[in-house]
Amino acid sequence: MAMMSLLLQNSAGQMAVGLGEGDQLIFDSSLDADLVGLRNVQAHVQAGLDHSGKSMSDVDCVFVDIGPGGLGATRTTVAFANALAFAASIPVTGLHAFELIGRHVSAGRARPVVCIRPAARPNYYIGKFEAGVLSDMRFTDVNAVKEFVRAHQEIADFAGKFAFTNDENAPDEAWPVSQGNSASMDCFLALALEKYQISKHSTRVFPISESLSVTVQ
Amino acid sequence: MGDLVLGIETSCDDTSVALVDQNGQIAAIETVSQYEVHSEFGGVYPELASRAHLEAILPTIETVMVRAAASRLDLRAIGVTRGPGLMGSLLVGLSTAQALSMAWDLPCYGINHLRGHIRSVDLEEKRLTYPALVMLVSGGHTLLAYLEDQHSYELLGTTRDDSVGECYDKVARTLGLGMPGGPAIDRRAACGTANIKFPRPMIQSGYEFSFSGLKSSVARHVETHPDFVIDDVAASFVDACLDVLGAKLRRAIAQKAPASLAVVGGVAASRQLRARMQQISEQTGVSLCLPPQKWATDNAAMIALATWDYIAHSAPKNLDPKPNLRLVDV
Ligand SMILES: [Zn+2]
Repeated sequence: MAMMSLLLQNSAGQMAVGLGEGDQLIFDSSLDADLVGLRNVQAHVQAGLDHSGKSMSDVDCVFVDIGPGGLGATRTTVAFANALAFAASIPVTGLHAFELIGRHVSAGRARPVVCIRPAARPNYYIGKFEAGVLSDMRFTDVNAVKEFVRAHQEIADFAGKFAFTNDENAPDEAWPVSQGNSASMDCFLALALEKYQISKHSTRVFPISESLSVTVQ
Repeated sequence: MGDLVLGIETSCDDTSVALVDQNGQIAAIETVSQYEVHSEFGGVYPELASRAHLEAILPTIETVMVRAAASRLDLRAIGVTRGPGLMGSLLVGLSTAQALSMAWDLPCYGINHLRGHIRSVDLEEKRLTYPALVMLVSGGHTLLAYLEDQHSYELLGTTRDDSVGECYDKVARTLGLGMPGGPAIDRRAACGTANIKFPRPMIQSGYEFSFSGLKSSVARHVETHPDFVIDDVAASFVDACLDVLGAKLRRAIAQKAPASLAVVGGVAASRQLRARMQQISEQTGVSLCLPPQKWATDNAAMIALATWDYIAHSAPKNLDPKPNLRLVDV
């Protein structure tokens, strides 16, 4: 029987839950108008099970977006994923948000994708997704991010969420536009299954978060 | 159907899990304190609290289940604090509880933390007789409630600014006594004389409290009296606090004629407070119940016991976090 996967994505602050059967996506809560904007993870998961005629005991493994991104939102789904894995004795796998959105935006092309998301102000997370590999992952301030963006503006696409104010040095500088801040559930499932093959199966995952000592304001 | 409720409490800075039966008997409880995580910040830092809950919660649940030799089959329901509390911390408990309830096919109730505190009176032993007057005084809460019976909560009054516990902590800091401030103030006050007339905010009427003015006048006194005696300042401050709490209690006793009176929450550890309550009880003939100190601070056993009330009433299963939940809200 095909493996049933539960997919949880929330690091962009928009809860989305998917169900996969083998490599087929059988439910995607981001397509359900009644669920979009609803923050209760249980409501999304229950809707998915009901829609697919499944129950929680059918789920074989859980995959969760571990950020970087909105910490509260990420923790909500990570807590759910861990508890489900614990209660049902199934493995849980964490997926890096920049691999998710990088893969989504690159859509199989070779052109690199620079991923940026705001952390506690004035800092950002930044990373580069290229040929399926995430590199240059950093947690840094806005000036370093701008520098990175300038260096990649001509050669890369951009993903995530960023809005730089132009008040400091270059009032006319045009910043790139983000091509997306969440992965499609199809893309999520494909990455999840790849990770499942290669990574060690764990019983607990944790969000990617900045070192808090630098962000106390 | 099992006869234990799994209680989960993550509203502030302690991760607590307990298994409790319908009579308040505790099969197992484990509370992981974050005191060290926060001590370098001099207060609870919400972001750190939420992360620490995420790390601690499943090991704590596992510990409790193992210690009670309990499995999912021994459980009737899950009860989890949904407010009041810190948003990020509440969410960790709520999400965890939801996943457990789905995987284990158990009902899950979102519990009012304040009702948990009130129910803590009956942990391990039925102590409260109704109608009852319950005063909750802690670092996070200050309120006076009247319960006609076990299930009807009437909020008489709460604080407009600081809680009593916060006020104790801030005065302790003013006096250079360090944290946690309550026990330090209590100790010093026992050695001092209440010879300074601090204000008794809102003592004359009603059931509302306000403590920030009292805190400020202690700070002003210390600033303007370089030769102040710590023990006397502490004793005078405690006297002012207890006069206010006592006056509200006497007013409520006169108006409501309760059968018993209970004091719960962290500040209930104060020896001076206990002595004052004893005095009020003797003078008014209302029996006093002071639950054991171990149940005075935030813990999951009180949440689990409150859950039994929700089960008895087939209460709605609200699992959305409510950081500002009031006593009268389910
Ligand atoms: Zn509390």
